[in-house]
Amino acid sequence: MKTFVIRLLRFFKNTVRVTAFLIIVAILLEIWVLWLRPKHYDGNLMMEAFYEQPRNSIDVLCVGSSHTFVDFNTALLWEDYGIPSFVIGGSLQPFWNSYYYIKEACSYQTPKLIILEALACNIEDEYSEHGIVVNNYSGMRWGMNKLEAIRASVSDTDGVIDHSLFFEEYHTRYTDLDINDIDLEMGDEVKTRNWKGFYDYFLTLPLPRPELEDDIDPLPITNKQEYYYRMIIEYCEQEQIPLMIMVSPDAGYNEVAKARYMYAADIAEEYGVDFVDFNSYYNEIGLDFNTDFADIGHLNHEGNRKFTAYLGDYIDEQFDLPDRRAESTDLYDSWEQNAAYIDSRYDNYILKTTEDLDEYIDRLNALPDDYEIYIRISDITWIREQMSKFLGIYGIPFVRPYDEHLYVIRDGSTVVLDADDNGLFTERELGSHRFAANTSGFIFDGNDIVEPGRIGVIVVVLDTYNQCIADSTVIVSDEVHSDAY
Amino acid sequence: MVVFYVMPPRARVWWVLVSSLFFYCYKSWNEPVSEQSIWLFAAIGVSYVSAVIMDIIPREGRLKILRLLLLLEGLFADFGMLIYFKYYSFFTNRDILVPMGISFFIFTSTGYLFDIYRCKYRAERNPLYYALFTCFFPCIMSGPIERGDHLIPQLKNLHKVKVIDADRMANGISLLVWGLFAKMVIADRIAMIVDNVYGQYYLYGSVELIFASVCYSIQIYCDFMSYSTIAMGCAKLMGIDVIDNFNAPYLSLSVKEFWKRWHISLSSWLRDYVYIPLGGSRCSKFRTYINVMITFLVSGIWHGAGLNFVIWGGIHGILQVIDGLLSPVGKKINELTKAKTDSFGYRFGKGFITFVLVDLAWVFFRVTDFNLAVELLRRMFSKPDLWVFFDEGLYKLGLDRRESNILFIAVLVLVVVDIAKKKTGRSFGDIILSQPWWFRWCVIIALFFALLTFGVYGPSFHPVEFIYLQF
Repeated sequence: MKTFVIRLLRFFKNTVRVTAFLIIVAILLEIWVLWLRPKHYDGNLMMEAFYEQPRNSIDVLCVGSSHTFVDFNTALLWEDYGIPSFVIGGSLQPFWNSYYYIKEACSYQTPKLIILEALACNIEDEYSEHGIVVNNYSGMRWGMNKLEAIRASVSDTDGVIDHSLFFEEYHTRYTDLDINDIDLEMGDEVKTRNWKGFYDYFLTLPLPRPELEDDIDPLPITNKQEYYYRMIIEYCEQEQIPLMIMVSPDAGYNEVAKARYMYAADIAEEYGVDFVDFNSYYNEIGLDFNTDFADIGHLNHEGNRKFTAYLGDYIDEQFDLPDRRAESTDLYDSWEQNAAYIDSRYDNYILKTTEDLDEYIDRLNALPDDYEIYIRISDITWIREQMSKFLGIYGIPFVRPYDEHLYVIRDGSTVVLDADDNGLFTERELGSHRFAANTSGFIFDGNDIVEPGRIGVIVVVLDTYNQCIADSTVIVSDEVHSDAY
Repeated sequence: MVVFYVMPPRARVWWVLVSSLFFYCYKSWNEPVSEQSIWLFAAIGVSYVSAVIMDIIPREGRLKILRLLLLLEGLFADFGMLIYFKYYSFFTNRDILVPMGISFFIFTSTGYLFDIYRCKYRAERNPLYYALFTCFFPCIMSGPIERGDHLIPQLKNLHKVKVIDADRMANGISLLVWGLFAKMVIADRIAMIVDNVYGQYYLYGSVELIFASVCYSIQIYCDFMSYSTIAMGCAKLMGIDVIDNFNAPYLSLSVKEFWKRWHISLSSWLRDYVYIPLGGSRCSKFRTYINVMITFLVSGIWHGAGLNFVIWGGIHGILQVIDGLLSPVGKKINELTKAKTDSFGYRFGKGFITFVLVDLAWVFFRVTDFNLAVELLRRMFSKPDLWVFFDEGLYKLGLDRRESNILFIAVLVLVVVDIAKKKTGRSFGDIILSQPWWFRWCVIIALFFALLTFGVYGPSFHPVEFIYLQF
């Protein structure tokens, strides 16, 4: 009996030790994955943000390639139409990817409209590249949708298991880990729950407007794309979710692409589904190819606003979509936050690109309370009229030959700061970021914001909402940003 | 492994045998059993029958010649197969598909036949255990070369292995992660320098070539040691102890000691079945040196069909002969100069010289072309480029600064482990097991995550095969 008890105790002790060890390894492995997993706005982060959305809060779900998440402005749809929308899209996303995304999304949400973006008509590959698979699926939760999506994307010889584990792709990221990988809130770029999948593309590339011949015949898409395209339509039919298929404005639009979209439009018609090729409505949308594109395929910050406004009008008219702005704040508060985030990023960009000093002053004055303006007068012995006006607005005197103060404009009033014995004026933490102003200059996350030794009126605009530097410039003449660091 | 634990204990031996045969015979999904597998079955059959009959026949008497004939027949079958597969293409310039780990399989089998002939232990009558002994999957590809009296009794006790044994698991897992760490973090990373410099040797000067040759010494050690360690770990998880094949060889103070620490199962095999039958050291000095030379030439030939392997074996033989000849002189000098032979400096000097000699011999092992190997050695000592220490030239040999730092830290870990192994004479798993549980867990977890993160695997890297798989 005694021996039995001893053996039982030993067995119990062994079992506890082995189990505890395995639990610790599993926890550490989870942390390892959190740190090293790729964090791309398209694909994985988008899906992770999707799971954070309140259940049954999304009315419009937009699914498709990169065209969706840079063209489809979720903030504008909310602000102008009260439509809570979300974008799920990965780069070069084929229809089988979209199909499983839609199935996955519909197990958490009950959208009143699904917008399918149809760039996939032009994808001819039977399988996706390894990087695309990792990017687009690593954010999906484990389940049949994820497994089937990977199986549809990977040939047998490539190995479904290898692609499913993702470790191979993760571990090489040790070479570019940074604070955003370790900070689970993802720093200032993505407010996980508030993010709706849309990403403003702040770049402008003047491009020629596509001019196509009228006489074009439909061109079949690949069998596999067609199979999943039909599956999406049939799935929406079965779930009784209205579907709209669209082609977003594309400066690379050509005859072959148009022919394929015509083929896809014919299939959509077969099922009685709305298919809109917005490349036929450049004038109606008001697109200017000199100012509204970021690159050949994607609209920029100006273009997406024009396009979404037009698309918003269209879906508002065609589909039964309620205005949610007056409804439960708990459910839709994140759309309000998302709109504020996107608007502030847009404002920051506009501030950054403003060159005229008067206009710049106007923009600074229009900034909300989330902004702080830091001003230092560095080594100037003379001052121009406009610079004097600029300082005067904030009640800053011009002192010769050296002004040893730092002026902070916060909540509409100017605070004058002196440096301590170490030369530090002020420091503050913004989420996971550190900002400091000292007699040598301004430092954000260890980097100089303004080139040390610059002469002039140094202006640093801190966006405390987005936890970033909205702008930094040195005013030496009546222009700003003409020689910014 | 999971199946091993959950199945009825008496069936475990069957499971391990089926796994071993699958491991050896599997070729592809379309052709599950490779053609070469038939040779394995034939060799197992011949040696099993020969050993059992030898065991039945009395050692003394009229029939003892029959025992000798059976031994020769077994050896003929084994070595015939070995010679055909390993040297056929060398002599005919025609490529043939060589069964995996054939050299290790043949040496296990012939060692067993010798032992039975010498009546060292009784032949195993159960063909199941004998078959498993010869093709035990952790050891079949790259050793260690096991002995019948060590492995077979353990195989017979497989059913007694406890399912949950935290100590055994810690031992086995620590060996597994250490082996994988040595392979994936050190060997495969350092291979990038070696392949780059040896591939374009004409671009580099003395320091870079010497550095690459040192890197190759580390690469081949970690590569081979890692396989043996993984094999030990796998076997340990099934409750089986296999020979620890390496015990800090580069901390040896002489070439003779190096061979007591490097590929221990092969060295002891050559000692027991080549060197001692030739007369060993129980004969004249001259004859002893001839025996040493023959043993090392056999070792070279065993490694592969190529003049470079013979030269490599010959160099080690010559170094041992010179060591034997000069050691009385060395002792005299030490006495006259009152050298502090126990001091760190003296031992470090001896260790350093040994490492340099072994390292230079590895050049012939790495470079298959004799003339090229000589040219490499010539350039090592005739193209001074000391500035590479100062202009970051060493970071341009295949690994950047970050990767080099990772490698440097990993090699430091290797040195610490080897010092611990040399001091204690125990395997890595046993050393870890002797530590407090929290330290044990920390080491295992740290190694696991280090290899997971810094291991050379995945689409960004080209996988590097174990070097010793070719033997």
